[in-house]
Amino acid sequence: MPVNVPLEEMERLATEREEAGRTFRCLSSPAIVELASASGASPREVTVAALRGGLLPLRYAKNVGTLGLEGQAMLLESHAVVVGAGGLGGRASELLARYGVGGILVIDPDVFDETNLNRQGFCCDGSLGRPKAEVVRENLLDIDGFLEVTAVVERATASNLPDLLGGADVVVDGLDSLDDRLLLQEQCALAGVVLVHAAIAGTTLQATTIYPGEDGLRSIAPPSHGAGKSRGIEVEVGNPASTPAVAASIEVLEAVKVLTGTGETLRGRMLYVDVDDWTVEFIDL
Amino acid sequence: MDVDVKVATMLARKADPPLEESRFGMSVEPGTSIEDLIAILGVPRSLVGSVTVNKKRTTTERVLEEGDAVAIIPSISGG
Repeated sequence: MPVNVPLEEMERLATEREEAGRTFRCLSSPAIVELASASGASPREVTVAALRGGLLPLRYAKNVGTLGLEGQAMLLESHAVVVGAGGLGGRASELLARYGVGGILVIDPDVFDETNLNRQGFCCDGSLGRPKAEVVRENLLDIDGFLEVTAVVERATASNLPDLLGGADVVVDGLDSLDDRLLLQEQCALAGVVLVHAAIAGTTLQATTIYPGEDGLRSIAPPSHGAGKSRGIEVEVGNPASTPAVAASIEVLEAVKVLTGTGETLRGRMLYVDVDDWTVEFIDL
Repeated sequence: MDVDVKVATMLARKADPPLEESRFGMSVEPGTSIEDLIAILGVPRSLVGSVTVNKKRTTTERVLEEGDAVAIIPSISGG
């Protein structure tokens, strides 16, 4: 929707700042709120209009060196779905919000428990017993109140995913079993949306980006899969604090590439990292 | 014949007996498959996810050749 905020009005509230080797006219968040309230547009719409008018919102100042103004505007107009709000999904949600992905839907049926405290984003003593998706939503809005964040406290299934994936520009995998991931991959293919995958176990992680119709995770499903074996070595080695955070960062770096159409993704190959001896493998899928 | 082997560190620790190194060279009999190698190394078969030879994904039935670089990677699903 075009926003009726004259560029001169934005310029009047802008200040100058050096960023990424350039001088930008910048808008603070209070200035954006003021412009939004005067125009009837949402702060997010004003932010996009400012970016397209060559102004830099201060809250995204440190993104501009890699994204550029147009890349930032594209993220603000994008919609990401994060399926699972545990070790991967909570961190990934936070990073999507800090990047300024405009619409974020977080899906998770569970409540935080004490075993989540070592690694899951926004899991604190005070949030124990509360639905993960709700807690993540509240925190994302604290990070960036201009975003549209929705929480769904349900398990993602073949019944609800067609609706939940509607309008998604990218889906981020925050699940914890191969069965659920294969279902998500299938539903993403049906919805025609790209799935960014990661999984962790102990000090190892894997990540890839799967486009609709590709074999993706089906190509690495172990022969024993389908015989009741949906979990991997993480059952024996656990999920420490750092590995999911690194894997979630990789997922969001991939999601940003997908959303902005820049860079080379992990499409068609699985990144596998063994932190203990710093082995990095790329496995063709 | 000689091959280079990389076993994921977590699989190396789970091997019976545990492997001291996660990257090493070793000699195997001609005709040895990756399935055989996994058994020789004592790596729990149920924890193996993918195997690669010379950086390309392959099946465990593949028979090794002189100078192959084999990687044995676990199945991981945590989040």
